[in-house]
Amino acid sequence: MSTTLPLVKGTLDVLVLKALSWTPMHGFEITQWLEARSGGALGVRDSALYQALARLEERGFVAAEWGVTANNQRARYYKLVKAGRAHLTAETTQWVRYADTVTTILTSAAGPA
Amino acid sequence: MRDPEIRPGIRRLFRLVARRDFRDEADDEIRLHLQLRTDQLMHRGFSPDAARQEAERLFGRLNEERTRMRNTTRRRESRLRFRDWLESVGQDVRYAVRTLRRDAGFTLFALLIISFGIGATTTMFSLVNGVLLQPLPFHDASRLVWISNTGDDGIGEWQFQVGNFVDLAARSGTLDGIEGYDASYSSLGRTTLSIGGESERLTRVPVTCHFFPFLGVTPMLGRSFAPEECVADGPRGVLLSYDLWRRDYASDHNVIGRKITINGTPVSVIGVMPESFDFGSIFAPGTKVDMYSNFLLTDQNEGRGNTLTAIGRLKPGASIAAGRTEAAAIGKQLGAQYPRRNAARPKMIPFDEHIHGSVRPALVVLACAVFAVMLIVSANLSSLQLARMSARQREMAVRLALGAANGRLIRQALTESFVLTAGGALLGLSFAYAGTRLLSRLAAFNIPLLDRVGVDGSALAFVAVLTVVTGLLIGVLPALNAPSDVRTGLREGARGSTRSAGHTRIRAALVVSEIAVACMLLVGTSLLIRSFIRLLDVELGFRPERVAALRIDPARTLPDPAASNAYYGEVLRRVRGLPGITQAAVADMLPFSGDRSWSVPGEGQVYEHGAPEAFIRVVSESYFKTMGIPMRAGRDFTDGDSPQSPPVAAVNQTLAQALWPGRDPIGQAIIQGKTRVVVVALVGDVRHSALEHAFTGELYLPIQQFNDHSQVNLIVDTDLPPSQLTSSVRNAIAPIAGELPKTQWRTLQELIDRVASPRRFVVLLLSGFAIFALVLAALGIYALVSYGVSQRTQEIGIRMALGASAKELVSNVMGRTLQLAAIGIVLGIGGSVILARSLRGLLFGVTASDPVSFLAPFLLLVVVAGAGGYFPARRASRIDPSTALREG
Repeated sequence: MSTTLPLVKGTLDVLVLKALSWTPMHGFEITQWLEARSGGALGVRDSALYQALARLEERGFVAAEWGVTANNQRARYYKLVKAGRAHLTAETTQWVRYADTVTTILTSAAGPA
Repeated sequence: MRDPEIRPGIRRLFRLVARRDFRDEADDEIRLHLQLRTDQLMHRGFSPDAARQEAERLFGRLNEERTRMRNTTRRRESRLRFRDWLESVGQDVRYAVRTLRRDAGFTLFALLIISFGIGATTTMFSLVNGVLLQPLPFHDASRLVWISNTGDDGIGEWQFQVGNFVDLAARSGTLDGIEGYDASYSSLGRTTLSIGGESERLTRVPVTCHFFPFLGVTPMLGRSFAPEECVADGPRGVLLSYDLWRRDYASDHNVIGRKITINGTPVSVIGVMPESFDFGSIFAPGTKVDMYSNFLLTDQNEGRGNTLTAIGRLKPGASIAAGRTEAAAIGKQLGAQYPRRNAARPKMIPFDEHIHGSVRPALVVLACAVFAVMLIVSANLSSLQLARMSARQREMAVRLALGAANGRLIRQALTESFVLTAGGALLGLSFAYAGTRLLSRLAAFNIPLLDRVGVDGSALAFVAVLTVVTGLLIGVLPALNAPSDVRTGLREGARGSTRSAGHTRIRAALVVSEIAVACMLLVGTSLLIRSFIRLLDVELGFRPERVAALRIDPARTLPDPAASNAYYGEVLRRVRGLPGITQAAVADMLPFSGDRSWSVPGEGQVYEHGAPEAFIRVVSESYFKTMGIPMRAGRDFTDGDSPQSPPVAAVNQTLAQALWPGRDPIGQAIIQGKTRVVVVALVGDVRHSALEHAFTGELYLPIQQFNDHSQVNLIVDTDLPPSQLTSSVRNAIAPIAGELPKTQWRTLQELIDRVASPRRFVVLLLSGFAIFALVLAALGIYALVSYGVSQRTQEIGIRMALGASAKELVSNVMGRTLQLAAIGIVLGIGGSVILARSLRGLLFGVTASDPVSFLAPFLLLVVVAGAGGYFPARRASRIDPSTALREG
């Protein structure tokens, strides 16, 4: 998997929140969503995902409940709650500003400030 | 997506459908994930085995993750479960509050009696805790012993002469030290502090040199006595009490080292005692001590007789029995070695027994009484709750039918009683705050350490425990009688069913036990009330009704005996001329307010165990007449008994009997020091230290001849209330006495009330408890019978229709009521016999089988039970048969 990008620390949580902002999903669905959206470029271990989910649940950003999949299998569905939505918005704004700033610096010509 | 938070109700629904082990939950989640991944990989062309392996690889550290997820799930589960539980408790509480609100009368009554019960119980707990349970505020208090000097007969409590005190300390091998204070009370109130031109009379206690370090009490400012202050010619220093320091020196920290004038002599202030140290509250309840000087173990003090009260500390490992044996042996040695000294017969008891001994039995009785009251309160409410549950059987059955769990119904029933108890506890706590405040300020009561009493952390903990226990006591019977299934519940909702008959039987048992406990309380109370009355009837030996006393110590120290004699003579001459005063005299001490004693050998007599001891009173002529002490033989002191004439004395009958049994004491002589004193009067015996104590020897010396006395009281026999005398007496003696300290008149009746106060305290509280118990028992009977009548309306209607007369009905109901009461009373009387035996130590002048004390509660209970039954019975007799049958 040498082609995958290593994940910047802390970004997985935000990505999961983003995934859930559309609809409640179970764990595997989230991995599928991430793979699809990143074109498989992000290397996320499944266990890391579940750790992130536990973390988010603990902090009160997502809530979980048992539900049934389309194929009638019992699955634990995660759902974004109000606090999580607010957190996602804040984190997104910050990430965009950060990325913009770094990008601007890295792509401009080198020289004295 | 609105509504992001899953509502608790929905969450619970989920969990109810699929409540599974937390291990399964975590495993299910992982299994599903692996399965979906495997499917996906197989779809991409992996063989099943390879797909499985790849899925696990992608997952990473499978086992570790599984454990972690299990833990997380478990934590989440227990959190949820706790929240659900809290929520359901909240529901139950809200439900209970709603139900109780509907039944406002019952709720108010229940809250009132619970709050009274818990308030009284908590107040009692604080009292017992503050006075008895908490350790004394001294270093190593458990090894402290109280050493008193007893009389020849082993009873009585005298002090020690300086020489005996010193030798006892030196020769003891079991004690780590002995310290003491001057308990002759010769200094109490005698100290005059002069600040500027004003003088103030204070109470000073002389203590031995190392008294404070010995007890482990450190001055808040300055220091205790230094070695150089402990010798005869050394500098003099005093320690101030916290209150005096605040009052007279405005809490000035620079007071240390200041010279102040006490009784005309300059002394230095060397320290200030901490606020927490209250000498009076431990050693002399009711006395406020203002300062402490040091008591010198000198020959001069030796000459003052028995002055020192001793406190020792046992060496580690030394038993009190060993200490006692040794002290007794030392006493004997001293008696043989120094025949001229006063006798030393040391009696040793643990210090805390000395402090608590007199109040412990009374407090234990009160604690038991309040416990009994609490039981009655619980029984009463339990019975009422049962009745309410019976009435609600149908409602409960319906709730069962709608799916409420049986356990939940029991819990709801319990919750209701807990809500009641908790509400009552909150109210009761405020009663307890008020009660303890009141108690701790009752300076009129002679109880050591009373000022420590207050609602503190341990009292709060006590209330918490009490609330839970009471809640259970009240709630457990009603809860167990909640219907267990729908059918029986619905059936039993009907009147006259077996279960409600069962309830009635339980309630009858509760009421019987209420009556029994109330009966015991009443018997105990009557025994103590009768003891109290007997005590107040005790032969005092003097007539207190019209006698009042006022301190008139001269403001300045008078130069010589002649000058003081002139002063007393002039005071009496002026006072006797005032309107409203029929008699007046002067004396150093009043009954029940301090004593000093020494041995009084008869002339020419030799004693095997030391001469008889006697309390010493220094009095003027007319003292016996003024006090109403009967003169049995001889003559009163007169102005002719002057310093120049031969010394004379008066003895009381007890002393005369001890010195010259069967002979006429008049004309006999006693030896005081080297002086021969002739007895000129035989007077009646007078109570001294306690109303309960037997008479002791008393020796009266004329004030004109005997100038060593600690205080001067003007004693008048008057037709007027003493307050009306204040200004006339003050004005009359102002020209010669100067500015008198602002001391108030004390009537002798007040002094008697004060020594009777601990007993009055117990009797008052106990009567309160007993009345409350009686009222509750009466209400218990009333409620039971009333309920019975309302349950049987139909039956009664039928009986009446069949021709039963109202009279028959009343007697029928009354008969049942009195039957219940009789069972309760028989049980109660039985318990009371045992109770009375254990009260024996507190009784005075009545026996434990005092018939009146048993008969009175018996009659009272019969009357009260009768009344409790009569009203419902009358109501039953007025039932209109046609209405009853229609409504039934």
